[in-house]
Amino acid sequence: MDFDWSPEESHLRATVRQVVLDHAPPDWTSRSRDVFTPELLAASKRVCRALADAYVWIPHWPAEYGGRDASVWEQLIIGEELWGAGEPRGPQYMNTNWVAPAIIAAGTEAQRDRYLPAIAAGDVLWCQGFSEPDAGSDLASLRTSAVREGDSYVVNGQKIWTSYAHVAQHCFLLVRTDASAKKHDGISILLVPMDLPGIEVREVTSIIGPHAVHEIFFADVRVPVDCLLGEENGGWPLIRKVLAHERVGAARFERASRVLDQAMRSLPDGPVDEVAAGRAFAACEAARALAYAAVQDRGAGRDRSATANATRVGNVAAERAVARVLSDEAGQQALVAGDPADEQLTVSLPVSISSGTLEVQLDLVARLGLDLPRA
Amino acid sequence: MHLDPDAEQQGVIDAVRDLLAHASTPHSGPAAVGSAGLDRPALAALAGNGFLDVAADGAPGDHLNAVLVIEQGEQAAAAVPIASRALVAPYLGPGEGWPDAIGLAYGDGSVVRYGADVDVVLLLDGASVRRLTAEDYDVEPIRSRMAYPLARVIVRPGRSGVAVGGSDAAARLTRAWRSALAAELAGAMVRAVEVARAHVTVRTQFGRPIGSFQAVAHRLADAYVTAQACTWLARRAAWDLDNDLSAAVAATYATAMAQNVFDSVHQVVGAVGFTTEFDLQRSTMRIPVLLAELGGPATHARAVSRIKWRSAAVGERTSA
Repeated sequence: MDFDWSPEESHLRATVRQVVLDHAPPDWTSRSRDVFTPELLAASKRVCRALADAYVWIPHWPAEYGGRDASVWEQLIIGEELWGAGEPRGPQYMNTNWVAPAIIAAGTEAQRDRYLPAIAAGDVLWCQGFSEPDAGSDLASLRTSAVREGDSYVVNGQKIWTSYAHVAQHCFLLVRTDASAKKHDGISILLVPMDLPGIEVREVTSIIGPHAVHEIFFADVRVPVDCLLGEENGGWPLIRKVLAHERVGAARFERASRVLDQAMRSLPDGPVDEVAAGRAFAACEAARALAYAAVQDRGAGRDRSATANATRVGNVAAERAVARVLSDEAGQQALVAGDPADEQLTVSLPVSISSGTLEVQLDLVARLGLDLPRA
Repeated sequence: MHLDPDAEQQGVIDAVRDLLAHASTPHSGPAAVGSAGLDRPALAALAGNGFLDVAADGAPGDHLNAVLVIEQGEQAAAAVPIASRALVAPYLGPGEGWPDAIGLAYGDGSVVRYGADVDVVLLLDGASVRRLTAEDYDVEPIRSRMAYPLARVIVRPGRSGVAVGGSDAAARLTRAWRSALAAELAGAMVRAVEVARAHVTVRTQFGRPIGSFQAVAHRLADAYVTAQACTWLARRAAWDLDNDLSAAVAATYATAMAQNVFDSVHQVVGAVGFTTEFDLQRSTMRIPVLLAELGGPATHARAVSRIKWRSAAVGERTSA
């Protein structure tokens, strides 16, 4: 065990931080990540291109695809610095964290040639078509169907709670290609252009803010078969890996810690409740410690570890603790839209639900970490 | 950054685990009034194999090794005061020639683990730290349900012991003690979760193991996550023992969360957890003792706030 950063890792952190300072809008917040205005979308693309210019956009990719095979620790550092700044990459954080790695891992050469250059250029937006109205925590029960007809899959169904669907050019779509197979065995992944006929995107208005979540409807959408990622009916194992990437990539503890820090420094007379503030900061550090353990496991190839799920549990506690402190300190000011306490409330609300609920994470910790029997 | 143990660290973990499995004689129940409590053979075995001196050189990795020894001590529920001797005392005063059994006192008259049995007490007395030997203090054993033997240590009139540790002794003692507390709580939590895990895996109700019920599994999973986070925060604090914030964070998190773990492991185990013959209380009934040390949970949390924000625009509006 060695808890120090190398000089190269410290330099990487400083570089990313400087890019953010130089190129991210000063008023960028976590809510901006949903790029609900053209200006926010343009700003996020500028940041992505600046990261690419500074060679800190895709360092963790293999060298043959434009990266330099950087370690998972470097990916973590980039994630900390960018999540800490409200994720000014906008939706494109998904591209580098897991969409592209999934294509690199399971795609054909033609697919890599088709999709990776645009992602590497920082100029393309993806969304993830996972959840459905009747397939939430039980994601594998999804019913959106893809039926092979000639050189196309005909897709019918509905996805929901989809972020970034209003701006995405592609959807990383989970579909059922074999209705007769066991539920985990009949799932495939399609890389779907969002401009195909039969696709309709509708915003689901929410208390989170504009364009936080959407529905996508698929009505006889003909998707070319060369959009299939990996084997037909072999999507589920790949998805498990994808979700592990996503869980490590979102350094929510860093953002929560910075929000707390900024709030405490802006209070004219100091924190009213030093104990609560101290505990909230400690909760952020605990989530960080769990995330680092998860990174270590991922770097060592220990895929059946509970640490990624434990990190999610830690992040939920950290986000909520910070939200509580900010709300208590702000009083009625927390009721004003856009106040930091209001923003933190809306950020902490979905953290225990999106990308797998807190209960799903605890199920996985119970099974992977404690080896408890299944129900 | 690399978080897997290297060969030396793994060697420390394995050797201390094996040593305590053979040398330690754990209590069958809570210590009674006047009980000697301290497991001298186990302490001697640790000392004889050099495990109480792993941090004697004061390097960051050495402090981390001391925390690994502390973790194993608590995971074995061994009746030995490892933390004070392996981490706190050498950090405070390297080369002082420390005896094997050391107690830590947070002010005159405070309750000290193994207070009736230790060779030396380190007394945090305001801004100074004093080394007390037997002729400097009286001991009043405490009647307690807790799983450490406890005694109140009272400095005799006219005695004050010897100042140790230089001008920043109090700060150094506090950092090391906080890191040690976090490691001890982490070890106690890990063991308590494991005892509870083993129980809910074999205990059946309604025709299946109770660990298969989400209401049980989720509480235990949450406790497991807390124990893991405590472990890592304590290790990081030990790695950077000169850092006030890391030590305060580790102690804050551990002491803020330990009661939740206590509640959860006892809840999922049920009534058998109350009994002295069941293994759980040997760890859980240590937790309240650790929570009460060094000013208690709120003191650590307040310290985090003051270390982190006092030097910024933040004033001291809240009283201690």
